[in-house]
Amino acid sequence: MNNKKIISDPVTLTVIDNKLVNICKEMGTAMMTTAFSPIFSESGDLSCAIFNKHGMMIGQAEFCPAQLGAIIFTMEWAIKELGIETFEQGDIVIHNDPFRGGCHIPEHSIIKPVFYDNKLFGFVANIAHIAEVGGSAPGGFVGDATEVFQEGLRLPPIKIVKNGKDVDDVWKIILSNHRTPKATWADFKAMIGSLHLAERRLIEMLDEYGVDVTEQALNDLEILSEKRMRAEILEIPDGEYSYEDFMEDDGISDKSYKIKALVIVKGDELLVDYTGTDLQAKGPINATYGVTASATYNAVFNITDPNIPRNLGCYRPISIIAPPGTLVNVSYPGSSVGGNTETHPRIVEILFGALSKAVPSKIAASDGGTCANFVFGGIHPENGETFVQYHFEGVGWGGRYQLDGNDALIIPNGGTTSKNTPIEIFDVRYPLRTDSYSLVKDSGGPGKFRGGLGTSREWTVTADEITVSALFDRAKLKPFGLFGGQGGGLSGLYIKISGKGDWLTFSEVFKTISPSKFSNIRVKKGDKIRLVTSGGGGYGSPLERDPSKIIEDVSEGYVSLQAAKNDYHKNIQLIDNNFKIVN
Amino acid sequence: MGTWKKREAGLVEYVNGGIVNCVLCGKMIPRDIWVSIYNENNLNFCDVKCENIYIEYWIPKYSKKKL
Repeated sequence: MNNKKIISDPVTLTVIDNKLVNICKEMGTAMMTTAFSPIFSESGDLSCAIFNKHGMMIGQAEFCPAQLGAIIFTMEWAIKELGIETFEQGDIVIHNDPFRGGCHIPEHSIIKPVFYDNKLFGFVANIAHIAEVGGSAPGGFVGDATEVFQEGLRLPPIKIVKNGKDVDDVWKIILSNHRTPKATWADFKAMIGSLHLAERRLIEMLDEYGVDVTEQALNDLEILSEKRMRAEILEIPDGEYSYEDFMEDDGISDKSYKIKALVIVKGDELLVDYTGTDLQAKGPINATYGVTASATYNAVFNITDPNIPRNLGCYRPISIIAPPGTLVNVSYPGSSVGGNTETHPRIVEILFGALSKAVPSKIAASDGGTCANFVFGGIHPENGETFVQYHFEGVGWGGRYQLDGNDALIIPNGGTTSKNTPIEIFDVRYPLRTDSYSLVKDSGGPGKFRGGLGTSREWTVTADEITVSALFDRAKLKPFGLFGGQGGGLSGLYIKISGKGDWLTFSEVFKTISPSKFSNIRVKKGDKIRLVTSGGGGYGSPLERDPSKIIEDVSEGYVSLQAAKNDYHKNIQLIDNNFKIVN
Repeated sequence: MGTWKKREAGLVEYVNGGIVNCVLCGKMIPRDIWVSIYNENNLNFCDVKCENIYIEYWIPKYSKKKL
């Protein structure tokens, strides 16, 4: 219980909280509009936050929840390792090390101290996915990596700018290890530019309110946030709730890996114990502690008031046990690039599964549970330059209490700002011609409230050769339903070799161990690739679905007539060009 | 009752590759370690909160050695 009293008046508190949120939003917009790579400008795979002078988060906006959960650990490590006394005006730190608080190699945190009246006030920071980071496959998503070294260039917290001047030695190391240095240069400069902007805005706020009023408000916001989170947890019935599910393989063997969670709610505190989870995998599906903690926080944030100010206070009532050397806390030098995109959503789904017994009206069935990471690169035939694109794709979300799941959205904890990439990006920037892009009929898990639909994209390769890598999950094990709802449709990656008739998996054509996790497959001109994402699980028995919704689903093409007969109502028929249920 | 200790810093940390995980939560500890002695063993925690959960939850549930 937090008994500290709030001193600031509510208006000042609200205004300062909103100013911090808006500074973060403006940072994000600046990055999206100035970066080079589509993963910034189109997909929005980035997040921004503000920290106090002790490195404690004091503000964030609605960006990628997975990144926002992780950045608190990268910030902590950067300050502890470098020493708070070493930060000077104009310094900028870069950091992506999964074994120093990071979430996976592609996610780079960039941090700038903010001084006011020559005293350190705090830090502005952002975290974003860099599309190409070196390593053994273009794009860093090495679906069969066994060590972190194969996943790209690892940067512990180091200064990339010192006293306002680029540290050329650091830049040279980075730019000579990434395959697309122009993109890296431009994207990092966009991140740094947004920090300069945030620094200006923070100083303007301090000019307006003064340091004392602002710091008092920040202190009070932390108290308020903790009190409100504790009040929310108090509403969850005390008890022990458990659930488990599996990652279907790790790209190295066909073995599935169990993740087990026990959620203990006691009064106004919540403990999540992952003891019993399988030992870490050889392949890259391991989560770092930061990823597991982030997923845990995000699951709790999903079932509590979204208006609670997001600062250190709201994290305090939540405790985590993630045994080292397991799938939820990878030990050095294990690979982990898929932990942030594949295992993170699985952890959230498992916590939803556990908490569905406590707060069923606040829980959704499993979402598609994969980012469907598809990475390709090569030499562009039109300009002779090396290109790399990291693509991730929307899935169906789980059916909810009283609502169907959303269609074709990036996993809930992958991004609020993250979006599906428009087809024009492939046509204009890369030698992949889009042949089709559609929802996948029947991929929504049947239920009283149906799961959302996954998507299907088909491309034709127009370069002589490209290299592709993939890191998916849910290609074998369906996203689960809840309360009698059924599983969503599977994901998949397929290829049709030029001149041949059949769509086949990459395992069938290239003998990859996993159909969804592999690296460095060479695909030729004229070959076609189909990327399919999974649907969400259903909520409640499909036999209880409103008949008018079944008819609407079939009429709109979300559900086929045959699937409707099998899963919902055997007497649905097409009569006079209208679907009707005949009793 | 524990005491705060600092993990080795600087290049020696990189050379030795030493990683210290909290005995309770599993988090890698960046610098400051809360060290407590149980059954004649030094145990490394993030902070007092982790030690308290270790005593109140972890030991009764998992440890054969009671305090």
